Amino acid sequence: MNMRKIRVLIGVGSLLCMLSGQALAAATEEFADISASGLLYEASKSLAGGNYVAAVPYLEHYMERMEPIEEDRVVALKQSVRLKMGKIYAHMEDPFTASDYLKQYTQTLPCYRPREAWKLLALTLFESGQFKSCVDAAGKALTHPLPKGLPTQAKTTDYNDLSKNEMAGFTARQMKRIEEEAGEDGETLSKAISEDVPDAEPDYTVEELVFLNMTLAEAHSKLENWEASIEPYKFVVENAVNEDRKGFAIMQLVNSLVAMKQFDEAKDFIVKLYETNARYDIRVNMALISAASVLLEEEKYDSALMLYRMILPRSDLVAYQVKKMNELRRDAGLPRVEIKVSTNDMGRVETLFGNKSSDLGGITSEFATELPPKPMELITLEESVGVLLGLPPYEDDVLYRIGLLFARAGRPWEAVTALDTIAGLDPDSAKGQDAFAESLMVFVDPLEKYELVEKRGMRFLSAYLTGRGPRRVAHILTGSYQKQERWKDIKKLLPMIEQFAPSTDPVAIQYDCELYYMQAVADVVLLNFQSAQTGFERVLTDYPDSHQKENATYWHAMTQLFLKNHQEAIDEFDSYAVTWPNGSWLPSAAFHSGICLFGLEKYDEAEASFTHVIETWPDDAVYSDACSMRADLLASKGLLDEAQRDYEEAIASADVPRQATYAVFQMAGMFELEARYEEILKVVNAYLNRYGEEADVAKATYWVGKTKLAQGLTGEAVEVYRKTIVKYGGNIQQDGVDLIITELLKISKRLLDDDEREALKESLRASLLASDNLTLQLRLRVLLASIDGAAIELGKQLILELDDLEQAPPPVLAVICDASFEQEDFSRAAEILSIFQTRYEESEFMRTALKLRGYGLFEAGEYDVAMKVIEETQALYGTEPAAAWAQVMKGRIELKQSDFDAARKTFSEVISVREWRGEPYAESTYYLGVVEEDAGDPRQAFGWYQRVYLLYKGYAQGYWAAEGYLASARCLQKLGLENDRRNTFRAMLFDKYVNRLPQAEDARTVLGAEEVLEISQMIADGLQTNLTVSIDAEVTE
Amino acid sequence: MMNRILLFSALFAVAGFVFGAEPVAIASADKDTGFSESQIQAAEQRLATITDPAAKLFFKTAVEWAKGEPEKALKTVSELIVHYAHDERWIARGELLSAVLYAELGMLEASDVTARQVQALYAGTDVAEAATALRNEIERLKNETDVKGSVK
Repeated sequence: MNMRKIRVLIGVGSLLCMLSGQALAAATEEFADISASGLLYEASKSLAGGNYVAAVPYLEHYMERMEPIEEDRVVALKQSVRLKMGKIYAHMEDPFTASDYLKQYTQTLPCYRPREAWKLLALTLFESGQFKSCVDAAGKALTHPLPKGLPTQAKTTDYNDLSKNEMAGFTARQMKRIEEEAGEDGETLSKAISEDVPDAEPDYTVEELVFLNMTLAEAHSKLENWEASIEPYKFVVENAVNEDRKGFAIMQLVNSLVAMKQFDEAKDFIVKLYETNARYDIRVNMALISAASVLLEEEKYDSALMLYRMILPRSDLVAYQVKKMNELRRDAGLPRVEIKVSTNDMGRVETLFGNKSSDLGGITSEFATELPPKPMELITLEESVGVLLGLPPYEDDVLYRIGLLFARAGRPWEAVTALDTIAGLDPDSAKGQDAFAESLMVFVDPLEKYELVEKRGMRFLSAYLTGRGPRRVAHILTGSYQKQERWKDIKKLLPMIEQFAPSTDPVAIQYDCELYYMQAVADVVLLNFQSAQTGFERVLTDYPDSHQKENATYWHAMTQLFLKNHQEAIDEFDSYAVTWPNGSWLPSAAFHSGICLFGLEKYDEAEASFTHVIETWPDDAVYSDACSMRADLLASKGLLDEAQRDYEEAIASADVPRQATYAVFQMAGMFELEARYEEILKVVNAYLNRYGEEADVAKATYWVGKTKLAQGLTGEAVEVYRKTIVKYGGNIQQDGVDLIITELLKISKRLLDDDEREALKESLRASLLASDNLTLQLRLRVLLASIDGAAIELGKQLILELDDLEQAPPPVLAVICDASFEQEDFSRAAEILSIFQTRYEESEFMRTALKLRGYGLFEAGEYDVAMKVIEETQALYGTEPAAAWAQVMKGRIELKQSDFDAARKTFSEVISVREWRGEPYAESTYYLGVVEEDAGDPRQAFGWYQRVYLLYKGYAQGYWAAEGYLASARCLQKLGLENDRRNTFRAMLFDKYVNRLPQAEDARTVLGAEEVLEISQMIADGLQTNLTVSIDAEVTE
Repeated sequence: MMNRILLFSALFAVAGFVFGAEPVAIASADKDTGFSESQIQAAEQRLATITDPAAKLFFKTAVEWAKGEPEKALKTVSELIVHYAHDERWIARGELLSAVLYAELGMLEASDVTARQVQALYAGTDVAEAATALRNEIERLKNETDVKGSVK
C-alpha cells in the first residue's frame, strides 16, 4: 500500500469511526478546526447522503487550504476534488462554476479521467453559453484523450513512518484494519476523492459519442458555424438510438443546411424528418416554423410545405407530451397529471399539472412531500410544455404562411381557402387585412374572378380607410381593372384613395405614390392628358424621391407633348436626360424631343434628333420609329431615295406591327407620288405576308385598290374595297376603312357609270341591312348618302340619333360637322374636334371639325381661341382648297380687332393663292371692301365691292356679288352719290345672277314699285343692260 | 382530355370506399356519358350519413365533381386540404383529387404543382404513384398544346 492510500484510509477510518458513533456536527463548526482529511470525510458523508450542497463548503475549504501544497499526493487529491466539484456543480445546475473546476482539472496534472472531464466540460460550457470554448472542449473530447501525469512507480507506505498528523489520530493497527475493510468493501464514495490512479478510463460509448457530437453541433449552430455543424449532426442522426434525439438532430441539420442555402440536401433530410415522430418534439416544432419560413422565402415550396405539414397544432402536441409525461411519472412512482390552465393574479396564463384524481383521490398539491422526487427529464418536459402553452398562438401564423405558400407555388384554391380563414378570424387586424389582400390577389391572378374581386374589394374599401390594408386592396383593384382594360373604373377609385387616412408608415406612403401614379397612367390611356399631367405632377410634388420619380418625370413630359406644349416637353425631356443620363426612358425621351421639334416646325433640328437616336440606340424600341420620322423629313425635302432607305430600315427593324405599318404606308404614299405602283404592291404584300392577321389589312387593301385603279382594273378595285369595308368596317380603329370610303366615293363619282354605281349601292344597302354593328352601319350609311349627294341630310339625322359620338368613326363625324355647319349649330363643335384630336389626329376628315369649331368660336367672339384653330388648320392643310376658310376667318378676326393693315394683307393673300380660286376669292374681295369701309375710305371700299359683283358673280350662287351690290350702294350713299347709288340698284335688278336673291329686295325697296316694274318688263322684253358706275377722282352727281 | 371517369374510379379504388358499400356506382357508370342522376342522388344520400368532417369533405368533392361542377369540387377539397391536413386518412387522396380537378379545369400548371407536391409528401404510396401518372399526362397535354401553337 502506498503512502497516499494510507492517508486516505486514515481519513476513511475517521469517517468509519464517526459513523460508528462519533458524529461530527458540521452545521456550525468552524471549517478551520477541521483537519484536511476531516474536510474530505465530511464531504464524502454528505455526498453519500445525496446532500451535494452540503458537501461543497467542505470541499471548497479543502481546496483553499491545500492550495499552496504541491506534494504529489495532495496535488492528485486536489485534482480528484476538482473533478468532483465539477460534477457536483454540474448536477446543481451551475455550469459556470462547474466549468471552472473542470477547466482547471483538464489543465492540471495529473489528469486521470480526461474523457469524462472533457465531456462534462463541453456540456457545462454549452450550458453556460460559452460556445466557442464548448466547441474546443467537445473537439478535444472527441480526440479520445488519454490520461496524463500518471506516476512512474507505485509507492508503498509503512504506517510506522507516518507522523501523528498524517495518521489523524489513528494507530498503525487501526490504519491496517481500515485498509483491510476498504479492500473487503470494494468501491467506497471516498475512493472517488482519491489521489490514486484509477483504473484505465473506458473509451466513450456510442451514447456518449452521440452526446458529444450533439453538443458540438449545437455549439457550432449557436455560433452560426453552419458548415462545421453538419458532420456532428450527421453523426447523431446516424447513431442516435433515441428517436426524439435523432429527430431533433435532423431538424437542426436541416436548419444548418437551410442557413447554408443547400436546399436540395436539406430536402433529403426533410423527407427523413417527415418519416419520424420528431414533430412531437416541442423544440422541433418551434424550429420547423422558422426553417419553413426561410424555405418559403427562398421559394422552395415543396420542402416548405413538408415542414409546415409537420407542425402540429398545440393541442395535439400538448396531448402527446402529457402522455409522455405520465409515462415518466408512472415510472417514477408519481401520480399522473392532466393539464390545467389558469390565469394568475398578474393576468398571466399559467399551467399547472394537477394530479389525476383517479390516481390520488383528489387534486392535491404537486409538492406534497410524501411524493418521490421528479426525475430531471420530467422536470424539463414539464417546463417545455409550460413554455409551449405560454406562447402566443402560432397555428394562425402557420396557416397564414401556408396560404402564402399555396399562392406562390400555384395552388390558388387552397391559397384562398387558407387566407380567407385567417382574414375571417380577425378582419380588423393587420394580419387579417394582409390575408384578405393576399387572397384578393389570387382571385385576380390566376383565378380571374374579376366580379368577385370588385365586390370584395369595394366592400373592404367602404369599411377601411387606415393603414396599409386599404392601400393594398386599392392597388390590387387597380391592377385588376388594368388587366381588363377598364380604365374608367380605375378613375372611379380616385375619390376613395383620396379619403385614405394620412400615414407616416413608409410602406403606406409608397402605396399612395403608386396609386396616384396608376391613376395618372389611366388618364393617359383615356386620353385625358390634362388630368394625367396633373396626376404626374402630384406624384412628383407630394412624393419627391419616390420609386416612381423617374417614370413620372418622363410621363409628365409626354403629357406636355400630348397637349402640344412642345417647347415645355422638350425642356422636360432635356431635364430628364440630365438627371438620368442612363435612364431607361432616355432613348424615348430623345425620340419624342425630335417629335416636339417637328411640331415646332424646327425640321432640321428634328432630323438631327432622330439621327442621334438612330445612331445611339440601334437596338432600342424607338429605333424603327426614329427611322420612319427621319424618312418623313427626308421625303418632304425631296430626298426620296434616302427616305426610302430609312423606311425600309424602319420596316426591317420593327419590333411591333404598328411600326412596320406606319413605314409601309408612308412609303406607299411616297411611291404613289411617282406612280410606282408595282413597288407599292411589293411592299404591301411583303407586309401582309409578314404580319398576317396582325397587319392593318384595311389600309393594305386601300393601297392594293389604288394600284388596281392605276392599272385600270376599276371593277376589281371597287369589289375589293367593298369587301374590305364590310369585313373591317365594324372596328372603329380601322382607319384604313375610312380611306377606302373616301376612295370609293371618288371612284363612284368619276369612274362608274349609272348601272355600276347602282349595283354598288345595292350591294352596300344589302350589307347595311345584314349588319348589326353600329360602327359599320354608320360607315355604310355615310358612304351611301355621299354617293347620293345627301350627306348633309344624313348628318342632320345623325345629329338627332347619336348622343354618344364615341362610336362614330371619322367619316361619320365629318358628315355631322357638315350638317352642323349648315344649320349653324356649333354646340358640339368642341366635342367633335376633341375626339378627332385625341383619337383620329391623322384623319383626313378632321378638316370639317376644325372648320366647325373655328366658326363656332368666331360666332362666340372667342377670337384668340379661334386663331389657335386657324393656326392648327393652316399647319395641317396649308393652301388646300378646304383650308381657305381659315385664312378668310383670320382676316375677319383682324378686321374685328380693327387691325386693318393685317386684315388687308390677309385677305390679299387669299386672292393670290390659285388653289383658293372660287368663293374664297369673292369673299375675300368683299372683305377687302369692308376693311376700307371700316377704315373710313368708302371710295376705296366701293372699288372692292364693285369688283366682287363684276368678277365673281358666278361663285356661291351669286351671294357675294349681291352683297357687293348692296355694299357698293352703301358707299355711294356715304359719298352722296345718290344717282350712282340708284344705278347700282338698277344694275343689281338687271343682273340675273343676283336679282332673285333676297338681297335684291333692298334694291326694289329703294327704287320703288314703278321702276321695278319697268325693269322687269325690260328684262322680259330681252333688254340687256350693262349699267356700271364709276367714281372719278372728284365725287360728282 | 383524360378520362375523368377512369381516374375517378382509380381514386375510389385507392380510397377503398371506406364506408362499406361496394362501389356499385363506379362499376356501373357509363364511361362515355358520366354518372347518371340516380347514381348521383344515391351518392348524395350516402354523403348525408357521413359524420367525419374530413371524410364528408372528400366525398362531397367527389359528388360535386360527378355532377360536373369541378370548380365547386375544388373549393370543397381545398377546405379539406387546409383544415384537415393532419388527417392521414384523407389528406393524401384529397390532394390528389385537387390535382385532378385542376387539370379538369384546364389549370395544368396548378395541377402539376399539386401532383408534384403529392409525390413528395406521400412518396412510396399508391397516391404518389397516381400523382406520377397524372404528371405524365399533364406533360403530354402540354406538349400537345405547344405543338398546336407552333403549327399555327
